[in-house]
Amino acid sequence: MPPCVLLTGATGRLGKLLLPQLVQGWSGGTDLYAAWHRRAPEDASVGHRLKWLRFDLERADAVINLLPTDKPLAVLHLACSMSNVMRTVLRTDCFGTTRFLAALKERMSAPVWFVHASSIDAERNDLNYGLGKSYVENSLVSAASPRFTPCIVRLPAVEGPGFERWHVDAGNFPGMFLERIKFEESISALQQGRPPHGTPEPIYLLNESAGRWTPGKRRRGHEESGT
Amino acid sequence: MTLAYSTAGDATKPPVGIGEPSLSAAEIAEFEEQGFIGPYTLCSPEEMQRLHPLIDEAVERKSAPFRRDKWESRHQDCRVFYDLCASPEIVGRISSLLGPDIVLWNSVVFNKMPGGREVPWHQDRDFLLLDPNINCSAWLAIDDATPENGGLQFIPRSHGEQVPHVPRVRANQFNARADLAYVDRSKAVDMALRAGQFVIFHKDVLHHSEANLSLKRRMGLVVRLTVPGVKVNTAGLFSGHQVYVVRGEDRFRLNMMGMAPAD
Repeated sequence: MPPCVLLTGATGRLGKLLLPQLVQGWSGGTDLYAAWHRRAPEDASVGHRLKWLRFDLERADAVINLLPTDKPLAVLHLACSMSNVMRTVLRTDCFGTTRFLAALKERMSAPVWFVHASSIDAERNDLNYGLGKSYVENSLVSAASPRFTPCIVRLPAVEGPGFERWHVDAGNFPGMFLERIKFEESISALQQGRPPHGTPEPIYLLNESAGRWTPGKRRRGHEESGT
Repeated sequence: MTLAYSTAGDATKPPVGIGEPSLSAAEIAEFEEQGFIGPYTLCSPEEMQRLHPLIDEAVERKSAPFRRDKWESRHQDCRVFYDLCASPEIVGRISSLLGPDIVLWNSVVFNKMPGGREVPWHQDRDFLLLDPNINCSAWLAIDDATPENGGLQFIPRSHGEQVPHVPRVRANQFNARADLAYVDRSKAVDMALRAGQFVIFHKDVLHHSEANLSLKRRMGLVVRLTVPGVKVNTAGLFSGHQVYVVRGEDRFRLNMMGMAPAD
């Protein structure tokens, strides 16, 4: 049975580059759902390859009603709030995505492969953006099961560390992203009832500019803080 | 005086109190703009005065979870500190900022005796051991905290930027301080607190306290709260570290969970 693929954040910074590449290489018989929230798609026409959906992280359960629950599902989760207000990030990225995962696990009768486009900032937390990405990583690790395979990719430059290079490197990201998550292999595996590519540890999307960031925690050990 | 709801049963699922204090939309907006909000009252100075013997006895118990530092995380072994940390007055208001499920992950008693040293300007962000770094703190005055005895100061709106910190140069200094080239001290405001009052502050707001130049002790308790789904880096803390669900529930179970101490 061919899986269906849900791309969240399809009109966002990375999504609008990734979507054409997905559509271009799309094989017949598989449904591709592109979900958007704040920015409406420029061409929202619905075809046999692509269906557009409105997706609000705070009410993400609604999207699941529109997906076939008896097919394996691949979710490429790019959506996030981009807000720098922590309360908003908590409400949407953190709690919203966690509810989304819980609903997926509860209602999908077929296996789910969940790819989270995380960020280098998930380990630095320079921005609230990174807090949200990191929280979703923890949610995914908690949600992992034989029928729910998470795959976490930390990207530079989309926001936070390396953003000044985004306009230079962005064009390379979709291809690298799909390669790093082993997209074609994983879709094929889902079709054949085998587990897709996934790992509990984050993988990194690095290119020439991103090589400047060395993965690893920068936090100090236990030290006094206070007043 | 009842400081907290009973948590003698299942500490993983404390009740959510009816009529629990919360922040209004205007207060939330003020916190988000200023980086702190308060003071609020947990109890009267007289009520806090009556707790002093309990607090003084509790600090001296030999059961401190972090053996090297008797001031650290005493909510783990002393009920009086647990009840202060888990009080609806603090937890309810912070819930307005962090959401319905709240986890107590750290507390520290700061006991500044007469002559006690200054704590330099700093942001807490790099001292917290959370992944992700989601934290909201309350600083509760156990004694009156005034400009004379080393009360708190904040720089409003400073939570929007990361200020470079420089390491200490002598062993008896505070671990790291904000580079003063990036601190506009002319904007500092005093946060005087009566015993029993507390202030809520953002992990990135610049804060500081002067040396205690008075003849009175200035003791405070900082209460650090986060949300389920945040992993505490216990390797940077101490073995036996536990978290406590003080509101709502924890569906993640990422951390070792504790029960409220009996006494």
